[in-house]
Amino acid sequence: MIKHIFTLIWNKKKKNFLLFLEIFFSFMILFAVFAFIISNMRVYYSPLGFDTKNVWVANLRIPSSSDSTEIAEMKTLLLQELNAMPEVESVSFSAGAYPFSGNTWSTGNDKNGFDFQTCIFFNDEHYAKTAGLNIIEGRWFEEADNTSKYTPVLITKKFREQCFAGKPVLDSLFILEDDAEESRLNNVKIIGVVDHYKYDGEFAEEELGTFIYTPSTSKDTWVTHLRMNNNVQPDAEEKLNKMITAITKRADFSIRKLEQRRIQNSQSTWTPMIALMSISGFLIINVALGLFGVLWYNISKRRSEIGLRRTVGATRSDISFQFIAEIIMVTLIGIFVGLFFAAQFPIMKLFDIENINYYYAMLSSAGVILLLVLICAFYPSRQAAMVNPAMVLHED
Amino acid sequence: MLKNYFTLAIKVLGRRKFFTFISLFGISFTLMILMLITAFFQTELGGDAPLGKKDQLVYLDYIETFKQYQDTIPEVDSTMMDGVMRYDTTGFKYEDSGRSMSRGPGSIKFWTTHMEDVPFVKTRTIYTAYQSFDIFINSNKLTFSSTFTDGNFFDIYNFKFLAGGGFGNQQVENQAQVVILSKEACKAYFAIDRDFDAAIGKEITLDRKNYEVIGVINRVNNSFSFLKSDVFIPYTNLPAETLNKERFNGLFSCTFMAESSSKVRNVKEELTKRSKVIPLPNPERHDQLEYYPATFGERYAWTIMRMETPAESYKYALGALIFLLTLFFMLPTLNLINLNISRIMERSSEIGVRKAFGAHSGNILFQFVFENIVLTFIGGIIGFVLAMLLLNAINGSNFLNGTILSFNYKVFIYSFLICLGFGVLSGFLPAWRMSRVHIVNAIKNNQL
Repeated sequence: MIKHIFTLIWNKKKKNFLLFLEIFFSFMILFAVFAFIISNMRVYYSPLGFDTKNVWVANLRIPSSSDSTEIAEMKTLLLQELNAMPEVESVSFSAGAYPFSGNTWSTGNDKNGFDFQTCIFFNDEHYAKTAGLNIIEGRWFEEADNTSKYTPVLITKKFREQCFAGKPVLDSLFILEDDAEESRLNNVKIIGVVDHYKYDGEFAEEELGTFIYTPSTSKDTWVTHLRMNNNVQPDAEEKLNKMITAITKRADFSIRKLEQRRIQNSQSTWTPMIALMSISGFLIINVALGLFGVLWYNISKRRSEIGLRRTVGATRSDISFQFIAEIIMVTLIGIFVGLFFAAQFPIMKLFDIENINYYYAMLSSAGVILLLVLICAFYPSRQAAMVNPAMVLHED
Repeated sequence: MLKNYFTLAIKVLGRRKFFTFISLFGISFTLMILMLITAFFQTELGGDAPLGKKDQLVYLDYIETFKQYQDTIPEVDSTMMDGVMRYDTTGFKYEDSGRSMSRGPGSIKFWTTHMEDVPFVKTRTIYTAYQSFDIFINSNKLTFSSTFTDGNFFDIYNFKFLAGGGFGNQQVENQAQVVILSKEACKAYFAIDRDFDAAIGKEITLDRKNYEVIGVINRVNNSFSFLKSDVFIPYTNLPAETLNKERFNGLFSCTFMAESSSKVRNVKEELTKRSKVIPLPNPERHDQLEYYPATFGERYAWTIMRMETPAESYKYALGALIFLLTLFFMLPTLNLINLNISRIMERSSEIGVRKAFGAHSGNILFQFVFENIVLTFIGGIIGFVLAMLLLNAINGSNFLNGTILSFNYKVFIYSFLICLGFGVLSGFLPAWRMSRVHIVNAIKNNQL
C-alpha cells in the first residue's frame, strides 16, 4: 500500500518536488519561530519573585566621594521624612543593580569546592518588605546584622539548588569573591534563601543571585525604592520630588514606576515576537491557500483516473483516502528532511537555549504542518470522490 | 505588443478568480512586509538627519580596563639518569585564570588627555545620555531625557533646527547655561505649538538651574538614546565630581568624524594602536586598556548582537539578516511557482496556436514573465496600500518603543525594485516550462 503510494508520488516527482520544497521550508521557518517563542514563553511564565505594582524607584546620583558621616545623616533624614509621608509604606536603598535597571554586577570563583557565577545585589534591611520578596528559608537582614563578624547574605533558591543541594545552608560560610577589593565580600554567611528574583525582566532567564547586606546609611547605595499604598494622590510624585531635592540638594533624578518599567522592558521582547508571529502566521495562510489551490487543480486534472478506479470497484472513501495519503506522504518526507536539519540545533548547541525547547518546537511545527495539509487536502479529495464515473469516462 | 500582453494578462486574471485571489494575497502580503522592513532600515540606518555623515563616523562607546590574572604551571620533563627517573622543571607556562575588568564609558580626563589629535580625525565629540529629569508644571509631570555634550556634537550630527542653533565650544568652556529643546519638549513646557522662534531666549529650570533656550530641533525617531533626547546641554554643567574624575571610567562616549569616509579605516587603526601605549592611572588595579572602535554599521550590529568585536557582530548580523530574508522570500516565491506551474495546461492551447503561427520560445517566455510582472505590480500596489496602513498603525501604537518609521522616495524605489525582482523570480520557471511545450501536444490535448 505505502509502496504503491510512493510509486504514485515518484511518477510525478517533478511536480511533487516543488511541493516538498515548500513544505520543507515551511517546517524550517515554523521550527525557528516556535523555538524562539517557546523558549521565551517558558521563561515568561516562571515567577518574577518581586512586586512591581505600587513600587517606585528613583536613582539619586550622589557622589560616593562625599563624607561618610554627612551622608549617613542625610540618608537617615531622607528615610525618616519619606516614611513620614502618608502614601509611603516602606523605603529601601540599594546599589545600581536593581529590577529592570539593565545593570548587572556579578562575581564567581571555584574556591569553595564548586564553581559558580552569581549576580550580586546590595540591599538594606527594608528591601524584602519594599519589594515583596518571598523568603523560603531563614530570614531577611536586620539592623543588628551591621555588627556581625561575617557579612550576612541571602541566596536565591536557584543558587541553593545548584550549589548547596541537599545540605543545610543557614549560617554556613562561603567565599563569595576571591581576593576581593572589598574584604567584606571574601567570607560571607548565608542567613536565608529567597524564592525567585528574575530582576532582569520577565523574559530574562533567572540567574544565580546573592543579596549582600548593606546598611541603609551606607554611602554606596543610592537607588531609592518606595512602596506606596493604594491611596496615592496625584500630587504625590511632586511632593516626593520636592522633598528629595530639599534634602539631597539635587534634582537630577526621575521617579519611575516599576510597573511601567516592567511593561517597557517586556515590550522589547514582545515586539519581535509579535512581528515574527504575524509574519509566520501570514506565511502559513499563504502556504495553505497555495496548497489548497494546487491540490484542487491537480485533482481535477485526474478525473479520468478517478472515473476508471470507480468503475473497477473502488469506493468513494478509497478515492479520498488515496489522495490524502499521497499528499501526506509528500508532507512526511518534507518534515523528515526538516527534522534532520532541525536536530542539528540541539546537537551542535548553536544557540544558548535549553534543548527541551527545540523538541517542543519540532513537535509543534510538525503537528501544525500536518494539520494544515490535512485541512487543505480534505475538500479537494472529497470533491474527487464525488465524481460520477459514467460522466467522466464519457468526457474523455 | 506590450499593450496586447497587458490586456491579455488582465483578461486571464479575471478568468479564474479564486486562483487570482490566492496569488494576489501572497504577493501583496509578501511585498507589504518587505516594504515595512525597508522602511525600518531606512529609519534606523538610512542616513536621514542627524545621521547625514554616518559614513565618516567612528564610535567608541565603551572602554575596558582590566588586569589579567595568570596561573603559573611549571613544565616538567623527565630523564633517565643512572637508572633512576629524574624530573626537571624546564620552563613555566602561564595560563589565563581570570580577569578583573571594568567596562563602561570614559571620563572627561580620558578623552581630553589621551584622545585629542588622533591622526585622520577631523573632529570628535563626547556626549553622555544622562539621567532623565522630572519637571512639574501645574502638577503635571514631564520627564525629559537629557544629553550632555560639547560644541562639536552639532557639527557631526546635522540636526534639523526649527529655530535658533546649537552651542559652540566657547559656550561649553564658559559653562554657559544654555539648552537645546526638542519640539515635543518645547510644546510640553512652553505650550508653544508652531512659532518656535518665540521659545528662543526663554528660560527653563532643570536640576535647580535656569537654562536659556537657544535652539529647537525636530526630535529624532530612531533607537539611538543619545540622539533622541529632549534636552541637550553643555557638559560642563554636570556636577563637578563627574567631570573631575581621575579614573578612566566615566560617563562619556565618543564619536570621531574622519576626514573622509575612506579614512575611517585609518582612524580605527590609529585608535587601536593608541590603546597599547596609553598609561593607566592605577596599574595595580587594572594595567591594560582595551576598546573596540566601530563604524556606524558595526556599532549598530554590536548593540543587537554582542560578539567579541563590532566587526564580528556586523558580519554575523548581516549573515543572519540575509539568511532570514532569503528564507522568508523563498516561501511565497515557491508558492507562486507551484501555483503557476499547476496552471500551465490551462494555457497550452494558446501557446500551441501562437507557436504554430511562428512565435519563438523566447517570445512565449517573455510574454509569461511579463504577465507575472503585471500580476506582481497589482499585488505590489495592494501591498503598498496595506504597508501604509500598517505603518500608521505601528507608529500610532508605539509598537517599536519610540522609533517612528518614516516613508520616503527611497523606500518607494526599493519597493519598486523588490516587486520587479519578485515578479521575475516567481514567473521565470513556469514561463520557461510553458515556452518549451511542444506544438503538437499542446494543440492535441486541448479543445480550443
